[in-house]
Amino acid sequence: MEIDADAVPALEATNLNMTFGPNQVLTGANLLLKPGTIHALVGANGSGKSTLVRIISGVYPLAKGGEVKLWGETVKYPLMMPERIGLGVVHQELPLVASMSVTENLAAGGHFGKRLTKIIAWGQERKRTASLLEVYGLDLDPSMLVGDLSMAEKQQIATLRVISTVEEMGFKKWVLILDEPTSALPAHEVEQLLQWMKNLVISGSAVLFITHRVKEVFDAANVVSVLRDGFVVSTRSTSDVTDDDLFQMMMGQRAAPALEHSRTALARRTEKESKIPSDVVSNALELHNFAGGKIYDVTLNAKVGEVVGVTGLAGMGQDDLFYLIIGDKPRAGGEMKLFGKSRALNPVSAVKEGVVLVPADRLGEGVWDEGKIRENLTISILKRFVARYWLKLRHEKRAAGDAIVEHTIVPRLPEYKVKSLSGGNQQKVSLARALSVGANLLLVHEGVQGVDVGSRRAIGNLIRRVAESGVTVISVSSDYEFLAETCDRVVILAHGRTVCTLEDTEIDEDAIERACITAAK
Amino acid sequence: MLNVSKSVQAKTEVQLEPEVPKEPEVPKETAFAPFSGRIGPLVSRFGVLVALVLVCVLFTLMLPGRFATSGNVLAMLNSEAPIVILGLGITLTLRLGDLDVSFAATMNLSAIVIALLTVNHHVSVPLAIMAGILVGGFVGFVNAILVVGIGLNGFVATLGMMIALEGIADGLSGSATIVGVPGGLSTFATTVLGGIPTEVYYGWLLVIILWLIYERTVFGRYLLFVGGNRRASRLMGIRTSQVRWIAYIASGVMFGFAGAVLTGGLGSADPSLATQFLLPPLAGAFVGSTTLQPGRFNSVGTILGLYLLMVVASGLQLLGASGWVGDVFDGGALILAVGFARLTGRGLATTGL
Repeated sequence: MEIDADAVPALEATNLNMTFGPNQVLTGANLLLKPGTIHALVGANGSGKSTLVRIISGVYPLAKGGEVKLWGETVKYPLMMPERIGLGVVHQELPLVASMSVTENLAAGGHFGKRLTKIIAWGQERKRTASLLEVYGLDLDPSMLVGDLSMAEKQQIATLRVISTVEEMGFKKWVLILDEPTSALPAHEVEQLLQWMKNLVISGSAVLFITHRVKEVFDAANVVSVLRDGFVVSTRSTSDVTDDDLFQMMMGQRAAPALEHSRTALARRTEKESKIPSDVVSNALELHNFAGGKIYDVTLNAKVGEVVGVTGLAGMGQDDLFYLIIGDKPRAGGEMKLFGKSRALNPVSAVKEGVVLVPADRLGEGVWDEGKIRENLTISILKRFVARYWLKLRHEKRAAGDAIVEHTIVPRLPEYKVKSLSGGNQQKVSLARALSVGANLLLVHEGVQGVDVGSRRAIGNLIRRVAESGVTVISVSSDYEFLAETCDRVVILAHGRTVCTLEDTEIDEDAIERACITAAK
Repeated sequence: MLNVSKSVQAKTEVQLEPEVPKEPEVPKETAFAPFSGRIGPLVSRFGVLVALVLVCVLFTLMLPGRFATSGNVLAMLNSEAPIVILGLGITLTLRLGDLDVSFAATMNLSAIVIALLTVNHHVSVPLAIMAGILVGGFVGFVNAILVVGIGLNGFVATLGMMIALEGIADGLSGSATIVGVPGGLSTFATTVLGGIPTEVYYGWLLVIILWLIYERTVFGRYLLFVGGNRRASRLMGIRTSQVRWIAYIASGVMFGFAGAVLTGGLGSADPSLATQFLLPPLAGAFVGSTTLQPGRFNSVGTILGLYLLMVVASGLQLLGASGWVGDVFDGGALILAVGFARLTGRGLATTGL
């Protein structure tokens, strides 16, 4: 690497500490970003990555003894708008206004200056937006409402807003921090984002980039730091480490369970087909010319006990599929058969039939985060604990305790609030709740989005295990690696239509990606 | 508390130490909140009870022979009786994340209807009480149509309902206080059992019933989930609309019942009375939501909150403060309670409180 060792660091954070109640999240973390580098920050869920970003950007207070320097100058907190000092931060929670257009969202922030009485020339704003979208290669209508965009597009708009805001303030060299920008992005969009980052650092800026995906670290970053137990345990050049090293550093001594199901898809399939008697209706779900929302024509079969992946580039309709199946969004046409019978469901009857959704938006749709782990685990099966009108709390507690052990939810405290769990454990709670009703058809939407390596494997294993016990799983995901590891078949969507299906030995990460890109053309 | 090994000082190299899987021992509340820690949860759990005991002791010492007399205590409990029923009734919709402000007007309309039926139309007392309860249930039903059926904002819809109901009460009564309600109504509300009038028992009974419903029934749990995350509840297969319909109608029934208690206690019905019953129940419910089960509206907390506010108001009055001091205190308490819920990182999601 051709980095000038004497250059003033772009960003230098020393001795960052943070305590939440009795929980010390950061214990003297240090981080140094050199100019002209893409610096990846990795670590298991709950290792304090987001906390670190929030301290640097002034969201959380800087504890005594800590210091943050930008190009050698100490940053003075509180920081109302980090963009003003050449620090662009895209947090995990995207600060976008759903009911406003792309143009309005891009213009919000520092673009208008401080004067409230300034008159906005919307014509010019639209032109600016259009040219920004073009320069950054986004094919979006500037007048579209942000609420109608996919998660991936929202992520891109939020990132673009930060980049354009800082650059318009006249900073030539600056620091961009991205907190898990790729967790909701499909492969093509990830590459686009990595390219934006690479273009940025050419002029000497620096990028700090948090991710769970090891592949991206090696694709884009020059340097990688590993955060564990509250501080940076290692900072290395990416050319000096392997992904196994990274994994070891992230997890410490606790290596995650290896994927149990390393057999090929073909082996899994033949084995399973021999198990299912031929006289039983073997199709759990059939969709014929299914349409509604962004889905225009989907035909799909899922056999009992199969894991079927559904994917495509961002915004190809896959995100609407489950909501149409459970009847949360109105169906525009087509037929759905459930175990051979033509059906129309609504969210209540769906759960009764054992058709259960594990939503992508965990906090918004998957759990009640102010509720306790116990309450979230048992909410769908409460009626089982009723004896003569009253809930038997003892029985409920036992069931919740069992579920916590079975799904290795950490911490093992049923009375602990779900919101204080890591993303991976929240996802386990959501999955466990869905399985509790006696699922026949499990609909997993972005099952491993924003989930650390350990939980990711646990979730993958769980999906394989329940499928082997006879539950049919449909898995909509933009994580091709995850699909390749877990699915028997992968259905590719483009523009709301089923385009092709990958089966058996055809399934691997690259093949899925290639199919998605080809299909979308 | 944490299993983090602080001896690891490597900043550039990895050290692999045998480690127990991370399972932090954490107390129940760990939000980014100033009230967390060891003392915080205890304070928020029993704070209102402790405060209630403290103010009672304080006023007893400051007002010897005037505050802690059976006469004063009974006067306080009696005047608080309809407020307790209102405060408990609104916890049903507050748990859902909705703010229903039509409760005081509903109660007063029920009181007017009961008084009119008994005085002008000589309807029997039990039938008139039933009619008052029906009026309350019907108002709840209309509120549910507006808020659940049509999907209007709960606060705005019930605000409109409140004004409309006040108008109806005014029109029905001809803007005059209806006096001379039959003795049966007073018997219903003020018969003394063991030194305490029945109207006080009604509230206490309701506390127990609601506690059981909230803690020990499926419906009570559903209320919490629908209030906490309506979208998730729907996707989990809970009939969210049904739960909300029931809550609105059931709370309306309670407000109607409060109307019967009010008329019986006063021996009259006054169409202009609704407004003064608006704030105290809300303040009590919000103060109550900071205690016992912090962040959750609960029945025992609500009655403790109401009694706390009642004792302070009464004590201040006995100390010679004018009537307006009570209003300022109630308003301040409501704001404080909502602020406290915010500070501890909890609040009503849907109403923005």
